[in-house]
Amino acid sequence: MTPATLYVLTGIVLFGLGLHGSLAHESALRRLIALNVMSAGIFLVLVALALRPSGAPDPVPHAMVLTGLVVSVSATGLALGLIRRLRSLGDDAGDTERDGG
Amino acid sequence: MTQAGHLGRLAMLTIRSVGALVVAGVSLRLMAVVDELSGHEAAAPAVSGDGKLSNPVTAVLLQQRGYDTLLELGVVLVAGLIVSGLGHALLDAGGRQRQQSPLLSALAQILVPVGVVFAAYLLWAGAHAPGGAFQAGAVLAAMLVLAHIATGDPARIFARGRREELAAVSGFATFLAMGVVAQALWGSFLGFPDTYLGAIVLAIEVMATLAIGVTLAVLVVGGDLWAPGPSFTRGDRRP
Repeated sequence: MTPATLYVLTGIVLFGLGLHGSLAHESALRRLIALNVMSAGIFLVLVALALRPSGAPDPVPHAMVLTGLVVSVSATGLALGLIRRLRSLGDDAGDTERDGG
Repeated sequence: MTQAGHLGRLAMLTIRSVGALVVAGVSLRLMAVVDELSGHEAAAPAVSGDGKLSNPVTAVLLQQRGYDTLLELGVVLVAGLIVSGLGHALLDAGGRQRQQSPLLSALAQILVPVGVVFAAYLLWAGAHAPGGAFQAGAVLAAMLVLAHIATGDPARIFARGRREELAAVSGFATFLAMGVVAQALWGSFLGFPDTYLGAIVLAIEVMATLAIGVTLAVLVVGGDLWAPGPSFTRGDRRP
């Protein structure tokens, strides 16, 4: 198993875990974290596919990952702002789990 | 199990089986191609220039995929605008003890200037090493948030209000303006000629760093970077 294969498999598993979490959880915060796990999996797959035998990786997937990181951070910040706003209005955003979820 | 609370058992079963199918299917497909993909050399990236942009990732971001980077700055700006519009009373500060934290203040006094200088270095180093506008902007945002948490009045450097908004908009605006100028002068949107490439890229990256830093800090803090910091009051809400 080459390093590329191992990283790609890990990325796909992370994506699957995040996909399940983004649909199954009740708390909006946990679903948001699951979305971030999904994006981490995708970035790992992209970087793994950028490996090249000469040692110098293909820069285009790396650039796409950088762009995706910034977009996902912005989206996460926006989602957190919306969740906080919901809670300040009295909606608990699905947070029935008492352990801070 | 609380997860079964809002979804029926059939829905959970569907989600899990679909998830497992996705994982299995994508894995099989990617296994078939990953060895082939990683065994070939990359196509030579379609970048050129005067040699000042030797880091291939930065070169791809700003030349070959310049339009993607422009839109990425737009996404950051839109997110910052929406969070700013949500209102300033986003944090519930009830229940915490009122206390000053001299440790946090001391840490911020030492760390924030170092962090800002490091952000400037990251911006400059992006031309020839890992780094660039987004990395520098992230470090800058972290320093702004740290200053806000530690003191509640982070920067007499910036006035509040209009300059903050200008900083946030400037990244996207500069890049867009450069693209339009390139279209007018050299006939292709965001197609910069080699002789001016270094200067144009530097101007874009500086404004982008400022914009990303301010906007990400606004996203984290919840709309009002210059209001008193959130953590140390009991029971009183900010206006």
